[in-house]
Formats: sequence, C-alpha cells, structure tokens
Amino acid sequence: MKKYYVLYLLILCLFSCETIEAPYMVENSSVPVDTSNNYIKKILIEEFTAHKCANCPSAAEQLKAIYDLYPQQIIGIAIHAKNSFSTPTPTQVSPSGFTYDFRTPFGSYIYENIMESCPIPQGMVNRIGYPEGDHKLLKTQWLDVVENERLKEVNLGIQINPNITSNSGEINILIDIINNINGSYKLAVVLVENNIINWQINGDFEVNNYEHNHVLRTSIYNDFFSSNLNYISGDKINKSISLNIDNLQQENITYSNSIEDGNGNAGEWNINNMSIIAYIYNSDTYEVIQVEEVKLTNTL
Amino acid sequence: MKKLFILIFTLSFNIISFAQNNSGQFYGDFDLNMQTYSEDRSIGAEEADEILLNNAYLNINYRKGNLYTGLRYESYLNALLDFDKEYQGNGIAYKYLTYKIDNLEITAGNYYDQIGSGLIFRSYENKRLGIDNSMDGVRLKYFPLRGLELKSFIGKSRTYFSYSDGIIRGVDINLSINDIFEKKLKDIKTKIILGQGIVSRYQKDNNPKFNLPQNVAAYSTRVTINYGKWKYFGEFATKLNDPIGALTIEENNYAKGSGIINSITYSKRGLGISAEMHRVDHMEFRSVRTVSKEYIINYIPALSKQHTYTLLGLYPCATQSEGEFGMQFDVFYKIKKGTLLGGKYGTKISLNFSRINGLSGGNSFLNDSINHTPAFISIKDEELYFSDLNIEIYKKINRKLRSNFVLASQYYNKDVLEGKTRGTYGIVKSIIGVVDVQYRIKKGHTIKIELQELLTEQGDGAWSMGLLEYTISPNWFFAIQDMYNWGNKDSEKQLHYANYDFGYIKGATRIAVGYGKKRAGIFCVGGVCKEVPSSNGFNLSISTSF
Repeated sequence: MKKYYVLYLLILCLFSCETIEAPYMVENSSVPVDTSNNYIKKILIEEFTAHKCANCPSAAEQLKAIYDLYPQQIIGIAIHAKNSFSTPTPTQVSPSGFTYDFRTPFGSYIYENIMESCPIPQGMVNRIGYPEGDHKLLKTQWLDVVENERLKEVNLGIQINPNITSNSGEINILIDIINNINGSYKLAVVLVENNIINWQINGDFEVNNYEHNHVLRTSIYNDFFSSNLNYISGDKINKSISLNIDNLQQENITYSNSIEDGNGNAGEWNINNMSIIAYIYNSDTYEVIQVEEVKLTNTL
Repeated sequence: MKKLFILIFTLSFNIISFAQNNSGQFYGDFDLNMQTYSEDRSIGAEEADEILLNNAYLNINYRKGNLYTGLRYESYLNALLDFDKEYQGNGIAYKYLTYKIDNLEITAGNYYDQIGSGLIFRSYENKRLGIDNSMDGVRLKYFPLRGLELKSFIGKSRTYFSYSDGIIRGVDINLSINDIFEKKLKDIKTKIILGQGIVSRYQKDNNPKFNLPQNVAAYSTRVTINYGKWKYFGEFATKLNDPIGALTIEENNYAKGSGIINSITYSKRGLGISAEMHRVDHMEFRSVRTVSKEYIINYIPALSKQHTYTLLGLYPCATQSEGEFGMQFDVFYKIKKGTLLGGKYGTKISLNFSRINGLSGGNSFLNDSINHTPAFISIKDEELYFSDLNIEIYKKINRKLRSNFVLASQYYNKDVLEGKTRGTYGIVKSIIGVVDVQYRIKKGHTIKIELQELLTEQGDGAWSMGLLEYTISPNWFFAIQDMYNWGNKDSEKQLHYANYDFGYIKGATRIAVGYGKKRAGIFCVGGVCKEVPSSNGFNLSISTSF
C-alpha cells in the first residue's frame, strides 16, 4: 500500500508542470477558414462596455485581437451597459467630457435581461452558455468559446442588401437554409457605428479622443422571421425592413431624456460609419447560429 | 490490490448500512440571513425589486464508525445585495463522503483543504465574504508512520454554482522530525516540522497566437522550528509561468511568481514579541487563467492587525497578491498586578506596527518585449500601500468595570487597495481613537459603551461612532449604534448611519433582528476583501446547530 501511494504521489509531481521558453508568440498564427460552402461560420461577440469603465478598453482590445485572428469570422457589437459607468455627465457641467449618452433601449434590454446587469467588462460569444449562466464571459474566456464555435457546421447563411438614400430606405435580408434545422428562431437586425471619437476612461487616464467602434446604435428588427419550426435545406426566406435614420436617432435621444441621469445627448450619428448586423438566434436558448455584417451605405 | 478490494467492499457495506440502519450520529447547522432593501438616495442605497432578499444554508453531516458523509443545501432567493449576483437559486452545493481505513483517509465529492499557509493552495469558504472555492473531486490522506502525513488531491474548484474549467492536482508532505526520530531526539529541545507541497492546474491551450502552458505548477517549502520560548515559521513558494492567455502581448506575463513568509515569535508569561515579513510577487493563482477574484485558489495571509472595532477597520488592508512587501511587529506586555500601573488586576498593553509597500517597478513581468524583476527587498521610495501603528491598553478596573483603549495612526492607499485609477483618491491618513467600557450592573446584566473617532482630511473625512449595548445573559442582547460622517467635505453626505439590533440566544440557537443603514465600503477578512454596497432596511438572522 505504502509503495503504491508514494508512486502515485511521484506521478502527480512529475507530470504536473511545464515551462514555456521564449519566444512566446507563435510565429505563424493564421488559421485557415473553411470556405467549402458559399457561407462561412461567423461568430457574434457582444461586448458590454461603458465610457467611464477603466478596464473596458482592454476588453475592446481583446475583441480587436480576436478579430485580427479571424477577420472573416468575427463580428462585434459594443453595447454600452445601463449602469453607473455609462451615465453621462450632465451637459451643463464643465469640463464637457463624458457628456455623450451611448445607452440604447435595445442595449439596456439585453444587458438587463440576458446579461442580468452583470459587472463589466464582460461579453457573450454567440450567447453560448445561456441560460445556465455560463454565457457571461470575461474577456480572456472569449477565445475558448470562439474556438469551439468555429468548429460548428454552417447551417444557414445570411445576405444583407441595404438600399438607403437620404437617411431612409429599406434593408432586404435573405436567409439561406443550408442544412435542415429544427427549432424556433428569431432574426435580429441592429445598426452599429464605428470611429466615434469621444471620451473614455482607459486605465489610469481619461482619454478625450478615444475611438469607439461597433457601438450599438439601435435595433431595427427583433422577431420571428417565419412561423416554421422546421427548415429544409434549400429554403430561402426573405425579410424586408424599412428604416428612417433620423427617426431612429430621435428614439435614442428620447430614451436618453426619459431614463435616470440621461441628458438627451445621443444624436450626431454618422451614417457613413454605420453597419448593419443581422443575426439569427434560437428563441429559447438565445444561441446565435449565424451572423452577418455589411456597411449601411454599401460603400465598403 | 487486495487491500483496495477490501476498501471498496467495506465502503459499499457501510453505505448500505447507512441506508438501512440509522444508528450513526447526525450533526449539522443552519444559518439564515434575510434583509429588506429600501431606497435611500442620501446614502446611495438601492431598493431591491424583490423587497426582501435571503441567503440560507443547511449543513447535515452523518458519522458512523469510519464513514463520514454530508451535504450542504444553499438557498439564494435572491442573494443579499453584498453577494455576487451569480449566487442565485437553490441547490446542494456541497456533498462529500469520507472513509478511513488503516492509515488511509479517502474523500470523494467536495472538500476544503490548504497547503501550508495557503500560498499555493487554499480551498475554503467564508460566507461573510461570499467566497466558496470548495473542490469537487477526490482526496487521499495517508499516515504511514507517526510524524509523516501525505496528502494528494485532484478536482475542480467551485465557482458560484458551477466548477471551473481547470483541473487542480496537489500533493503535500508534512514531516515532524521529532516524531519520526522519536527515540534519537527525545532529549532535544528543538522541534522541527518540515513541509513540501506542489499544486498544478491543467487547462487546455486554445490560444492560436501564444504558446501557453497547459500545466501550471506552484510549489512551496515550509519549516517550523520551536525552541523553548522561540518559534520560527517560514514558507517559500514559487509559481511557474502562468500567463492569462490574452491575445495581446502586453497582457501575457510569463514570469515566475514567488512568495515568502517569515515570522519569529518569542513568548513567555506576560510578554509576547513577534516580527513578520512577507514578500509576494505575481503570486495570484487561479483555477483558470482568467483574472477574476472568483477563481482564486491561493491565499496570501494578511500582514496587518485584523481590527474588530468599526472605525479601526474602516480602511482595511487588502493583500495585493500580485506584488507587495510588508512587515509587522507586535509586542504584548502585561504589567503585573500590584504595581503602580498594573493596579489590582494588572494591565495589558499591545503595540502593533505594520507597513506594506509595492515592489520596485511593479511585479515581475516577462514576455517577448519586457523582462522585469523587482528588487528582492525595497522599502524606501516605494509606493506605500498601507501602514498602521496602534496601541491597545486593556484594564480591568474592578470586578464590575473593564475598559479598553486603542489609539492608531493609519495610512491607506485608497487607489491601490480598492483598485481605483491611480491619483483618484491618493492616501487617506487617519488618526483613530477608541474607548470601550463594560460595566456589570448586576448578575447577568452588562452594559457596554463604545466611543470611536476617526480624524482625517482625506477620503470621506472624519467619522464618529457610538455604540450602546445591553446584555441580559444568557438570553438577550440589545444594541444601538450610530456612525456619523461629520467631516465629509460634501455637506449633503454628512450623514448618520444608525443601526438598532436585538437578539435572543438559547442554547445553540441565535435569533437577531435589526434595522439600520449601512455605508458602502470595503469589508475584509484576513486581507481578503469585497466591496459592500450601501443599504437601508430590516434584517433577520437565525442560526442554530445540532
């Protein structure tokens, strides 16, 4: 008995550590993408952030780093969470930093109902882990889920065709079923804006010209796209959505004025920097099974 | 092999017997904490949607012969506001079965354990901190001969109601030299205990951009030497490369971590002297690579006095496991009875000093572009994290009257110790005084009065506190307490935080009801801290054991 136990201890000790020597970065880390279909598996990372959250820029950097690894497959949305870190400073207070209100009704809905108002920065990767609670991920946990998601089969593709002139128009969505799918699914279509230069606390510093990217602006559709529960390979479903940017912008301003500590400073959208993101998710588990992004003005 | 078979057979037999014959012993405890939350904008207290929040725990254990088993049912409906929201719902969060045969102890299921002082591994629970990182797996303890203890374990560490991805393995050997060589060393005055532990975490490397160690080890050596009135304890720990697995080079730190604890104590009747130092560098060890407090599986013992008086603990020291150097000195002296200062009953004096600062240039850091190792010892010119110089005098004046006085001077680096942006608050320098008097009115009736004062120009400014407690032993107690932030520079925040409590105790059961306001702040136990939100409401706590 004694010798078996000592042997067991030795095995545990000998095989329980490894030391990595420099260089630590992998020389060629590019990963091939499966393009055997017309569509590739794309992954949605929803990042919950706020302009007064000192650690949030590091999460944005992590999202950018994952995007740089898989530029064809990663789509991000930065959702400014409705909490004390995102509260805008009243506009009459000088200096004028942090007066912009990034919060949105849809972002608040997701943050409160799906993310359960968790501490930030955290995020979801295709909302995997909901509703068990495992969907709320710290930035260093995102990559592991991305790696698993990348291995999943592409069951449907999404095509987005915007037709926008003078701040209004129509967006046509085509959902292309590749493999048979069973279940109840919804379509969500949101607008995001890149290159918003505004204030942000970054670590120990208040940065007045921080570049906010893929910032959620609004949701223009979030509902079932069909009454079906069984989709057959080859099915094609079309959805047409009308929108008026000025009206949508006004909704955010009205929302900002209506919530606690809001100031109505939620306008100045730049249509040329905006993108449409459409994703399909299971209405029970909220798992996102495919996502697509195109420029709103289609000038990409 | 034969013994293993006997073990399994005996185990099975006992489990069956357990089901059929309840002749063993049941024991356990129950704990319930309920609180209402009302909105109070003046202190920033939020209303709970549920109005009432509740945490409850029931431990039931059963012992029969060499078999021990038990479980804990936990209920958070919903969790109290000072608990993480991840604690939600009900469930059996702890279950175990332990069997002892020959000199072997086997535990399957959940267990708590620690190696040495916890530098490389500590699995424990503290309800007040909302910490429970119990292990779920298998643990073996083996005592082959007197003075030698071998321990090994494998499992996953609890994170709220689930378990971390990392698999934790550990081995520990504890050797009492004097017991092993009992005959040869029986006349030797010096007693030596040696210990060696190793812990390893496995987590798959999914990072395509960086090479990450999948098996991260930490090991420690410890020694305890007792020589007459002297006692020395030292522990030396190393953690091998443990980068967090980020995709940016700046965040992946491949440096080794290290931790050193030294303490030397001299004690004799009426006098105790101790000196301690510790240095920790990049020593946070987690059940997964991710940097977050809920995954921490080691513990760096606090190096400052753990005060019990409210204002002395208003700015507590949180241990910075990623890098700090600290020292602490304690002197305890009892002035003899019958002397001028000792009086009829003697006088007890405790003097304590602790000082903790950062490491030179920050903690060790190693990656493809940075290689930094801080100086081993650096005190002068380093960023001060915390210091506390205090004296406590306890005096029994007569059979009915006892008093305790404390005077302290503290420095508290609010930015570092609360994880704020540097330069936001700076250092809070405070002088604190406490007067605590207890008077026994008649048999079973005691009144206690505490007056505390904290003077500072920084932080929230000066505070006063008063406590009046009346105890009718053994059953009843009543208390009124008020904290007043009269020195706050913002006149709207010069608020009172009054609390009213009473309780009933009978045997092992304690029921307490209270109402009051609590300030937002930092709450620490042994250097482990959490932020506590402000609150306003009623609370009920019931605890009992059987």
